[in-house]
Formats: sequence, C-alpha cells, structure tokens
Amino acid sequence: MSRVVSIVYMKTPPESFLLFKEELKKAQLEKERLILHYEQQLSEVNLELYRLKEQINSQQDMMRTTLEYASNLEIRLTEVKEEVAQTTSAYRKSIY
Amino acid sequence: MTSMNETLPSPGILEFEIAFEQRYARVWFNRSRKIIICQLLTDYVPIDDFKEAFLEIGVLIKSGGFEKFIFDKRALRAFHQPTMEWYFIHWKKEMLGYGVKTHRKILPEEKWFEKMVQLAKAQILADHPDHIIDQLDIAYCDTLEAAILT
Repeated sequence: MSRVVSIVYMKTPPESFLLFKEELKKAQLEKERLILHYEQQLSEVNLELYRLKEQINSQQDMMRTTLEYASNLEIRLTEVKEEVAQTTSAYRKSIY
Repeated sequence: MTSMNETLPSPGILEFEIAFEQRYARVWFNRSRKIIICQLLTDYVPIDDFKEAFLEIGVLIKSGGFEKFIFDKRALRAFHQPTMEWYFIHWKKEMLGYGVKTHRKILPEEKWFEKMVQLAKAQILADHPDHIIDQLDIAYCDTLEAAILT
C-alpha cells in the first residue's frame, strides 16, 4: 500500500514545483533574450567603433597631407628667397 | 515618393524624385533631365557604406537614360583616400560606360577642404595614369541649382 502511495506521489509533483519550473523556464528564455540583445548591441557598438577608427585615420591622413604640403611650401619659399638674394647680389656686383 | 519642390523652389529644377535614402546619403533623380543627385548627409562616410550607396546608384544608372551625376559633398569634413580612389578611378569609369560623362561637384565652403581634394586627386591621377578624366566633363559648382542647370 505504501509503495502505491509513493508511486502516485512521484507522478504528481506539488503545484509549487510546477510553478517553480515554469518560472525557471521563463527566466531561461529571458536570459537568452537578454544575451541576444546584448550581443546585438555589442555588435552595433563595434561597427560604430570601426567606422570612427576609419574616420580618425582619414583625418590623420588629411593632417599629414596638409603638413607635407605646408612643409613643401616652406622649402620652396626658402629656395625662392635664396634665389632672390643671389640674383640681387649678382646684380649689385655687376653694377659696382 | 517625395519631390524636391519644398527644398529647391527655383522653377527650372523641380520634379526630382528620391531614389533612396540611407544614413549617409540621399539620392535624387530626374529622368527627363537625365540627372542623378547624390547628397551626402554626414561629415564622414565609411568606405563600406560609401560603396553600398554608390553601387545602388550604379544600379539606377544602369537602368539607362542618365548622363549627369551631381555629387553634393557639402556635409563632408573628412574624406578617406581609398574611398575617393575607388569612386574616382573605378566607379566613374564604369558609369562612363553607361553614358554618365558629366559630373558636377559641390564642395564644402572651407578652402582647406578644397585644397585637400586637389592634392588627393593629383595623387590619385599620378598613381593611375590610365584614368579616364579626359573623357569626362567635370566642374565644381556652388549650389545645386547651378549644378543642375550647367
């Protein structure tokens, strides 16, 4: 008799256990949803970081080009000044 | 379908329609005028997004009947040299094959940006002696109206 009772008891778990199981299932689903959401957000942030990195690199390249251009202009200006000085000097020598 | 009437009130430049719009660009077209306009919307466009937009413009051009492309770059504050190279050497060359030989560009007002574009363009042309720039009609304009009408 006691064996039968035991079997019946195992087949019908208490209501609290069923509720707990249901809550656990809901929590697991919510956890999976949050993981997916988090991964999606992380992916978007990474993509934006990649874009910003490309933009910063481009701006650095533009600055490098600007400085090279300014530097070449400076060199050319110095050369022109020297040429003018030499021409002026040669002109004065030819006069005196 | 949206019309440009609200933003461009001059009588001669009505009836442009939006082909598509994304985060970085808005594209308009007018089949009777044979014109496509690409207006950039941000201060920088990453190369992948730039290619995506221009490949879509390419699909529109390949549908036939377009001769002029207007590129409004006034929102830009930085450009990516490989992006510019791809646009200038590959995209323009391919689109020339579909009849787009007239290009009008609108640059930001900042003079330094114009100088940067000139330097970058000179470098690209030097690196690619087989370029097709001589076959194109390229001009810079100050406004969309001028770009459409010239």
